[in-house]
Amino acid sequence: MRLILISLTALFLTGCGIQSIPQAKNATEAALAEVTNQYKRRADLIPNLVSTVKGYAKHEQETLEGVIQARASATQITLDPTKTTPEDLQKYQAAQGQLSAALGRLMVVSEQYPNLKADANFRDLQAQLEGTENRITIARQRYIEAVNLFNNQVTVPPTSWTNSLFYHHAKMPQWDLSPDEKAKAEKAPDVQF
Amino acid sequence: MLALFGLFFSLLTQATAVQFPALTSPVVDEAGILSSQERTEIESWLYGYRQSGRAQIQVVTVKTLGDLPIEQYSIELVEKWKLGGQKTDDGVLFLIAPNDRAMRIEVGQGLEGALTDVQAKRILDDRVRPLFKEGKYALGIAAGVHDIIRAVDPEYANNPNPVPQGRGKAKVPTWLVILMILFLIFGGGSRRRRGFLGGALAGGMMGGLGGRGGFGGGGGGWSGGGGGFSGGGASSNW
Repeated sequence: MRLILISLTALFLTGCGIQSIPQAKNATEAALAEVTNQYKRRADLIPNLVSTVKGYAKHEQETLEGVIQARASATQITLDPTKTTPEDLQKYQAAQGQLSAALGRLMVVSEQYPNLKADANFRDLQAQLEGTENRITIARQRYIEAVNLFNNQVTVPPTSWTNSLFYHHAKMPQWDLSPDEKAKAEKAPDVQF
Repeated sequence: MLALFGLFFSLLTQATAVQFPALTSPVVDEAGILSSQERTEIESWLYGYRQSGRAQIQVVTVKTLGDLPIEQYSIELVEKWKLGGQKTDDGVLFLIAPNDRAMRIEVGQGLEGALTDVQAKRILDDRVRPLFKEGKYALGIAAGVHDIIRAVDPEYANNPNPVPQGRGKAKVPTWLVILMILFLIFGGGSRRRRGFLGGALAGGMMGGLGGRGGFGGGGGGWSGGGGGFSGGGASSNW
């Protein structure tokens, strides 16, 4: 009788996690795919933005070139969510961070051209960029939550026991800002009047 | 751009303990910028729109954003309220923070193609902002809602007979129904006792079903249906 009870308990405990661990892993992959999706959306907006700015700010070649090159490097790195190592993710983030910085510079420069700012096309592009940046932020936040849920499944008993018995998944590293973004975020913003 | 970095950084570092208002009706006027007549008019408009099987548009005014950027406040609020249907993701939030002079339209995933970021921005900047600058809050909100409806309506054009949302019948828990049926079948004992019990339960059930209207004028409730949001929309200020 006691043997039956013990084996039933063991079965129940190890049953915890049989489904939820792979589900949590899939959720992290889906969340990462969504992040890359939003970054791609941003990259697609850029050519239009560059040509609009060029129309008004021909002398800002350097800044425009910076954006074009940063975009090219960023789009070259692709991520396969099902087999992404932490190093892959770091490289991807670094490239996107540099594109963010280049875009930031372009927007600052655009402030100096009132005709550009008044241009309806430019205003629309600004709205689209802001929307995309917001989506990127939210996608990253959800990725962090998905990774957290997965890590909990894998490290917290009883699902962690199932993991050690069957799946042997390692804990996933939590998402982090790229070094460029960190440096920028930690620096106090330049307020110029 | 920097504001958005700030948003992200704050998401990492802040533990938000902001209080969100409760979802009681299509217009939640926590900041008190609408008169009660203005509020009820817009409420019936939005309630009727939802009843006709179309988008769940929500207006909310708040006293404070609690130091959160409006985009972060907005996404946390819609994740809490879950506006829109689960499969259709057709919720729209029109958030106004008069003390911060900031506003945002948050668009559900299902409507991002109809109400694009650019359109949302135009509605806020070109239609609502001039009215808000003159302090005409009710007019501004009405104009914004009108333009939102105009943008999302085509989504429902192919559906001439949309399924009307139920009149929000107060849910009677299943166990209570089963209990009632059992009582009625196995009432047993004296006739008089069974009659009394049956009557009491029936009375209770009728009371429960008698339209626990969340807001005056409506018989049904108002709540989110589990819709998803991915950050689409636009913010502005005045």
